[in-house]
Amino acid sequence: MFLAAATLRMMTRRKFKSLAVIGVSLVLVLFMNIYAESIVKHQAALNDLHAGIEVTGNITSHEGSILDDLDISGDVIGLLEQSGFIAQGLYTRNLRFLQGPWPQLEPVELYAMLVSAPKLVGATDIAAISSFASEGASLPEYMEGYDQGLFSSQERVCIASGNFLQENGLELGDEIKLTVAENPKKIKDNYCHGTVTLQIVGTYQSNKLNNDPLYCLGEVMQEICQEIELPPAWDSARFTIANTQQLNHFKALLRRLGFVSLNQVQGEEISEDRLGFIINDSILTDATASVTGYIALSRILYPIIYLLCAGIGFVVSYLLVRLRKPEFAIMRSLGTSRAAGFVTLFLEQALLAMIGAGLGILLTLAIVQGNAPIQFAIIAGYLVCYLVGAAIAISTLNRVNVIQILTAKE
Amino acid sequence: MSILALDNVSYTYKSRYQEVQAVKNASFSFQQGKVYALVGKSGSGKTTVLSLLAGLDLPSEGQVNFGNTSTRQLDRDKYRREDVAVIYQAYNLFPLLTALENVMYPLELKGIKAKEAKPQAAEMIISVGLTEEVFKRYPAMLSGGEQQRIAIARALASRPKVILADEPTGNLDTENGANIVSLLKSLAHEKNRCVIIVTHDLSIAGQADVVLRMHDGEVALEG
Repeated sequence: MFLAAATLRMMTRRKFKSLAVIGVSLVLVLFMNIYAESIVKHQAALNDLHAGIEVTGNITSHEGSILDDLDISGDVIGLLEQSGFIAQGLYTRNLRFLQGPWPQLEPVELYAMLVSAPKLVGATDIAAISSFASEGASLPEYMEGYDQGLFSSQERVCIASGNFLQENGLELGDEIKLTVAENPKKIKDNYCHGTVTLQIVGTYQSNKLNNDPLYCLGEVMQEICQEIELPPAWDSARFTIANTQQLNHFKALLRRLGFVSLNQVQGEEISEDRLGFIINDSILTDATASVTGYIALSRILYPIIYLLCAGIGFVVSYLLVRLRKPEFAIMRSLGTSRAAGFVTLFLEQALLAMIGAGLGILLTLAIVQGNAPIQFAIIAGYLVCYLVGAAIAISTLNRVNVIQILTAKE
Repeated sequence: MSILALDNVSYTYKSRYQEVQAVKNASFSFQQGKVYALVGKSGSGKTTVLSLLAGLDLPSEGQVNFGNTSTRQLDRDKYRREDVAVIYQAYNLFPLLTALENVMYPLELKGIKAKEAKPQAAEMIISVGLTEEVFKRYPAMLSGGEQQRIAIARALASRPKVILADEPTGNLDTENGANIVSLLKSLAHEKNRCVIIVTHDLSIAGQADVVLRMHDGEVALEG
């Protein structure tokens, strides 16, 4: 009780030095909190930028000019979908179609026929079809009960051009039987083929004279491919990226899957059998560069600044306690035990540092209007350093030659 | 009967480079009710003997006995709280405590509550010739003589059997110095305390009942 009272008495009487300890702790705690808060604020701004700027990407041919007929393995697309980086994947797959039975022709003639045959395009979304996705493009018209949402269904329906309907005397709602075959890549004796019946539920305007493609649903297309024994694959892939903060990880994944980054390679010879990818992240990169740089620098400096603050606390407490040498010697000469002397000074330093830290927290909350995450672990670390400094200083005081200090003549 | 005794005491300061024997085989018994003067040149070992007698240090060899107990066996913090008090030339008062609080400190350290310690401390201050006016003054607001009286009052507060005084008049004028010596003498002769004054002032030594001279660490009875 006496020790506590003596501690409080000393604290209140040593006005300037007590205020100095409180002030140092207050300023350091405030500084550390504001610094941390600034990083958090910039991180939030960075998150907002990442959330607000859409980044898209697509798979291309090895030199980047062809976006279709790429024959991308279904397993690879499956891996990309499972990676968590794809917010929305837009995929298409093409077959060729003929109206009539499968022709019995020589390979060269068959190849020529299939190459010039119109396409049946399966798409996972209307936006996956480039002619509808472009700005200002006229969208298909649907028969009653259908809209573009049909692309997420599994109905065996399709959309045909107005020309196609007219040429074949068809109307919306009619069914059409097609002979479908794999996209010919080279001359072969035979091609995977089969028949399929689709109902026409939509029509679109086309400027082409003939060979207008038919569009069906991605899911249905995969079923058709399975029926004609084609392995799962897609011919075009465009995607909106979900986790743009880890874009580099996504790029690395694509590279691991065998794709070449066309954003990076320039003038480099790339084998034709490889596919490339393009990530349209330049707007995001430009917008986030300065914020990212600030955060990176702040994070590098943070431990240094923290150690500096803790070091200042250590030195201040050490020096202030060391100034108490004569007082400590008087206490010892009057019979205060080493332990009691230690407790008295330590308690005083702990109280002052905690008052300073508490005021620092309150001031932080006042300045940032209660929005800052208070760095309690950091503050605790600072207080530990401060008190370690005090403890070391008091321990050295405990070893001083009391009589030498007290008999020093004025 | 001796209250405090040096029994063949030696003390050696050891540093990295040298060893200095500050006290050599000193033996002497101090009695209650007497004033002792310990005189000698600077560096003769007077302060070391004071430190050993106050229980602030232990001898390298030999014993310092309080009554029949060696200071090695004593709880030396308790010994300084209750049995021995030291008065210094530089007063060594707590600068941030008032005169009254300075005198209360050893009492409260002994476990006496502030409420009880206060009148006892006040009585002690009055007994050394000061008035109530000084109670609330800080040491810096007191004259040298007043500060030394407060230091004596603080030393007496815990009613020690032995009072050690290191050059107690060194910072005082002649008149105040004489008053302090007279006060110390009365403590020995009227209150039966053992007063040991370390000094190089021969006029003070002349007023002591026993004079001990230190020379190169050796203690010898003078006269």
